[in-house]
Amino acid sequence: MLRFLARRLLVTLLVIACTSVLAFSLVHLSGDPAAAMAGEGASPADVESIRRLYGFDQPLYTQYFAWLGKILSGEFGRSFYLRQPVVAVLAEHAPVTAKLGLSALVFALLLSLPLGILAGLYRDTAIDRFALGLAVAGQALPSFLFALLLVYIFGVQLRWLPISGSATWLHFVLPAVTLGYYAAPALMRLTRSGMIDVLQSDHVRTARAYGLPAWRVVLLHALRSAIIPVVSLAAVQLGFMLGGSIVVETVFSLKGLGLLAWQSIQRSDIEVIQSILLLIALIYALLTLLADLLNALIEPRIRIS
Amino acid sequence: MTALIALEDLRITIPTAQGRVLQPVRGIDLSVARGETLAIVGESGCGKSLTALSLMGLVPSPGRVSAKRLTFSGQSLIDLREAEWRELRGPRLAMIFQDPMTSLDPCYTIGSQMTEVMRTHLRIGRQEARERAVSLLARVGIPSPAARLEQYPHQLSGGLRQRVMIAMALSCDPDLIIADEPTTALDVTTQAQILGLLARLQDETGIGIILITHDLGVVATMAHRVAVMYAGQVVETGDTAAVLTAPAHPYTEGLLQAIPTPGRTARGALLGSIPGIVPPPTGAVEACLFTERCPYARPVCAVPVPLVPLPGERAMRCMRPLDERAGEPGYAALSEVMS
Amino acid sequence: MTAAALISASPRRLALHRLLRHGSFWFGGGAILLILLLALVGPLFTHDPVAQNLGGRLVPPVWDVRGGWAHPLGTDQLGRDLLARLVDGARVSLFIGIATVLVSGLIGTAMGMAAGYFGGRVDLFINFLITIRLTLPVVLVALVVVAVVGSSLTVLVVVIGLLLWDRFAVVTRSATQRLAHSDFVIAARAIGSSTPRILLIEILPNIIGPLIVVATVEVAHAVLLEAALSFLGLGVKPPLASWGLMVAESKNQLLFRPWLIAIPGVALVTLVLAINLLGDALRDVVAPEGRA
Repeated sequence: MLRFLARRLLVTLLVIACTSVLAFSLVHLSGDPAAAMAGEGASPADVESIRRLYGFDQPLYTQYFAWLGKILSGEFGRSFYLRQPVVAVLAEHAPVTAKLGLSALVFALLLSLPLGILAGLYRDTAIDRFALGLAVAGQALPSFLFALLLVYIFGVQLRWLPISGSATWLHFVLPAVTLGYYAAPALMRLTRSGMIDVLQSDHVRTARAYGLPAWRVVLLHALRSAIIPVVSLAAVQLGFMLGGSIVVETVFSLKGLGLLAWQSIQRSDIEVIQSILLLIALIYALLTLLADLLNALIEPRIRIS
Repeated sequence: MTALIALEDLRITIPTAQGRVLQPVRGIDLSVARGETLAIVGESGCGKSLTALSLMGLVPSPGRVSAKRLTFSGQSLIDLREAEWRELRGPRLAMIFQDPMTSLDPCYTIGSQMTEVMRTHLRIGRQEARERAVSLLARVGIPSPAARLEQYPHQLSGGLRQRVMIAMALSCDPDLIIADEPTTALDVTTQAQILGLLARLQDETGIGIILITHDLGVVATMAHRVAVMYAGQVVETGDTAAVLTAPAHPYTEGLLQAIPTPGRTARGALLGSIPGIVPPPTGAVEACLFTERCPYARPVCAVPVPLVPLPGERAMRCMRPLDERAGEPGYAALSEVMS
Repeated sequence: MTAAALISASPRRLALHRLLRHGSFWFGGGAILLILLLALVGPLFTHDPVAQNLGGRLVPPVWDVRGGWAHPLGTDQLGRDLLARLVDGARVSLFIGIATVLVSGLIGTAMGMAAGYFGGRVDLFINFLITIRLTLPVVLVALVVVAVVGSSLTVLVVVIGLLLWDRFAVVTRSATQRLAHSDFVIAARAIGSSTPRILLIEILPNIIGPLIVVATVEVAHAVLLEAALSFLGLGVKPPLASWGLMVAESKNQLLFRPWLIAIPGVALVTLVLAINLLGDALRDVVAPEGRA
């Protein structure tokens, strides 16, 4: 188990290292960051002074290692626009995105798992077709459109739920639904196909052959084997959600990392952008690692191989 | 004495997506008594496993089961609801499958799988179930049984896994065990051990055993009575010794003459075989299914053949009586033609 | 096809036959064809999408009592004809969808085939690249690049194309792996075919099936990504029209003039749904093992 963990950790570190290079170069190679920060209408002298102030005139790799060194010592730089340490800014915005991402995942799972199990159990019946139809419809709806639709129905017409801000947990309901529904179809399909496969397997036949109650056969014996790829996908989807929360946060005015990223991009706040990119990549890599660990717990044979 | 299992004219049909209807089982008659081992023997694809599954109500849909009579200790098993089947599976009937590696759940320990079954059917607590599991494992000859409870199926050898399956089958004191090719996946030595275990358990507890196999050697070793299957039908039943020494049905005879026998098979002689192939499981039964391969075939065989009882509690599915065929050369003529 | 024809038909004809009987194929393909027609021919019949008419702003569509046939779908907040902008947006969406898939398909297929054919270190390296690509948040990266470089259609196509190649790579990799050890490839090597020749002539035609399926999925993906970027203001810029941009521009009209959002919204959903349905039909016919 330990060797498995060690190996996965090593790969993860390598991936994060390369991602940090990319996060860094993205900003610096796709244009002149000094000019972008100075904004339009700035004089060449201004741009030059910014360049010198931030060290943009140094060779790229020098800049990268300087930045890496600061990151590793916990110093994420300062936000140009907000005049605060990036760490503080991130700490302020991260919890909102975390809450949003987790509740979106919970919603997605609450929707997709039962539907997927039922669709797999009662294949080719009305509920199966309903689930698949819902999946197809869900994947065709862009998130911003869905967000506006929900705002219109629940916020404006019915006035049941708040549509901006993040004060109470109610504020997170509509955003969570908007962010989570896009992940649900893939999770549902995977659960469904996993169930269909496993229900024909020998060990489920054994469970039935010994007269175990239906719920035990389906949930404890069939689902446990079928859930493994779903766990991996769920972790991946959470990563996507955390990285793709921009639209939802802008529509619902949630002060999360996505909104921060968007604002920073518009304000050319380089340090913040780099740090957010790195942070999200880091979280994503850790989530994949977590998914592998969870799978190893569920399926004992994975620990050995 | 009521037979444990009394089965008359079992038929299983499977409609396919293309619209055809397969009939893998088209007429099975058999019975098993307490303390008796019945072997069902036949080649791959003859419908043995489906027959076994139908006795447990486990034929997967869209397969459909029908029979003139199917009783277990007098209780009819036809059109039983799923809830009623669940009460029987485990406490009254138990099944052992061919491949214990895939038949045991890889995600749970041996102990939790066994206790789960026991706690479902017997009203006992966790501790008592565990103790019972340990004694069952010991009874089937597994060393260090207490330690095994915490192990996963993939950590055990094939022979041990099969013993675990047998222990699980016994755990709720069933009256009948159905063993579907329990030793096919094992090596010869382990095979002998497992069969010996089953025989010993039968002597101790008096359970009935239905043993599905394709190996006539296993039949000879273990079974009191045997039912020979061909193309979804039972073609011969009877006491094992009688059937194997003096087969009544041409198919059984063909099987036996294909086995080299010390003392009987001449040195350098060709081993016998049955020419032709098994008919597909489709279409209506309009004649004896063995006609095309049978050395005794005559025009009279062109009708659906019933199971004909013979003296000595035997039966065969052949239109032509034994004494009528007695003088004919049969398979010997075939092998002469070929040599 | 008659029964006799079915029995003797080649696999390709059978596949075509199955495709034509698939409901999703007609529905999806039909809708796409309609949108394509609209995009190609529409500009001939509609107003100038860029022409502003501040006197005639926010005219409702023809089914509203205040609307009229002069502007069948109404006008937006700058007096521009909505139907014309819808058609323009169709052109943009279709162009971006197809162009990005060509870019990402090229990159992904090349990487996937290399990984699947050569195996070993090449495979490890390309897998590593795929993992890194998956670790990067797509929308964020696209936003950053567009913000710094600018948002012409070319830039959008290149950026999105460089971000959506991973599915192509994964699918072609496993398909190529399966074929790399097959007899006809070994035979081709034995007669001295060069590696590029083997990859292009022997392997590629045999993995076209799953490739087409992935391509349709990624077209939908690209269309949605562009719409999201345009919605956030960092995609297609005015005066060009994009359905995502149209929704963004009319966000504030949600309450009183919902059609300004609903019309481009419905168009988007229809296009993506049609692409997905077509992809489903193609997958059922071409690669049914991948069916979920």
